[in-house]
Amino acid sequence: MDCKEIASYLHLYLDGEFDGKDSAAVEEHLRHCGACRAQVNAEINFQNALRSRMSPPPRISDARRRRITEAALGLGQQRERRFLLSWPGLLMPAGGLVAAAVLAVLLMPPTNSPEVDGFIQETVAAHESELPVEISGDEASIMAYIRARTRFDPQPPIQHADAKLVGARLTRVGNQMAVIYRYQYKDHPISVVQTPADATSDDQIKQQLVRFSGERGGHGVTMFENGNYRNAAIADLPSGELLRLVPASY
Amino acid sequence: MFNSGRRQRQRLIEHELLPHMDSLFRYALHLTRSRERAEELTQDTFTKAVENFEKFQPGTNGKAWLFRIMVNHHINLAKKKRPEVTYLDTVEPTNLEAGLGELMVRTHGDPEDTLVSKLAMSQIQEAIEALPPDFRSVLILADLEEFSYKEISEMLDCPLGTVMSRLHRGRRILRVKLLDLGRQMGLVEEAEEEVVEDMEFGEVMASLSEYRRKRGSAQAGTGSR
Repeated sequence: MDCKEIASYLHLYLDGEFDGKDSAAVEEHLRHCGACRAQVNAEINFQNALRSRMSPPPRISDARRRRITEAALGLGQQRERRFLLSWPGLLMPAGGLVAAAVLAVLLMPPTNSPEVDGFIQETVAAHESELPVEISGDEASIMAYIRARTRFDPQPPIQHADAKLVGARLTRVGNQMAVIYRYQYKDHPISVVQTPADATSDDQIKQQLVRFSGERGGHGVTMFENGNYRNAAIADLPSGELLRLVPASY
Repeated sequence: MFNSGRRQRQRLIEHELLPHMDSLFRYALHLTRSRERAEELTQDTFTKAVENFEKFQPGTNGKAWLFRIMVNHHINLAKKKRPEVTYLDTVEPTNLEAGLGELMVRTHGDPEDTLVSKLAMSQIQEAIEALPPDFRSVLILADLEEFSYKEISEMLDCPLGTVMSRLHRGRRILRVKLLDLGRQMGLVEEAEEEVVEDMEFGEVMASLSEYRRKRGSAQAGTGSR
């Protein structure tokens, strides 16, 4: 290979597009030709400099990204929504059964706050890792075990005749202590991750807000919170079915 | 379990296709030169990809597959509108064959300091935008999106040799444009001496392997002459 050929095929060689035999021929020439070595080096410097000046690349808008993602994952009918579930009473009886009515469903623009997303991701991860429960037994013994080991006052997140609490374990979500509850509902295990809610005003105790209901990673997910707790229930169920277990929870 | 096939499909879409959205969008910008149309083209591409997802073979290059869909879709759209103007081979490589050494610019005696790093990103962007479309496509796919020549040839449905020559010439034209720009801005010292440094073979090989590593070209040997 001579200098002229090297110049013609320089990019092929640099880009690693030559096969071993051709590369060897180029390198054999380079060993003996200082001018071509200088050219190769100059071209590398030029390409490196050019590439470092070709960024930053533009990004697609967040709104479009969300539309594409939802459509691609088949989440189109389950846009993130906020449901406001109001309570008939002013106080939420701890651990009691309230037949809550859905008084209003506020269809707000899809909110995709990093906070909600992060919590849901943690929940999906917790569900998929299928961690064993630390305590199993009846509800009273499970709750006694959990309460003795947490600084907040955990409450069973679901209270529904068809969903039975079968176990729990302690975990962390971000830097917060959390409880994973394991329920059995018909043939489906349901995991619920619960953390204490952020300090909020007393008003919010009166209502429970569903922050998200839809599918994530192929699971149905419903995230709901009130002034005391933030919960995300996850199961291999349509999220609509999961959501039905929630309003009657407290 | 509930819809495990569907979940598997969702996971594949999530991991193999969706991460390439920004790359597709960038290339769509280059094709359409309009933000809105680029977003639509990106969305159409994903719609088509999901519709035809069973044709995708997991483990193969999802990015290349998506780009092919986008390029085809864009061509189809363009055909409907008006006959395509082809710039292919209409640009004469005027003073481009003068040799690469001529284009190396040494400013203020610092051998590592090339003209490029003195130009604004927007100026470089404009110079790339001003390339003839066929050259620009190949240059962006190779240098920005880092596809192998073979992938580009499949994507653009043109022979490997054409990809090579377009890329080679596109890069050269770009260099000439940047050099001209540098001259206009007084960044280039005229009548400079040709300073040819003597590089050791080992040094050149080291910077080459670093260059290839950055380019992510584990693609060595995918092409041939």
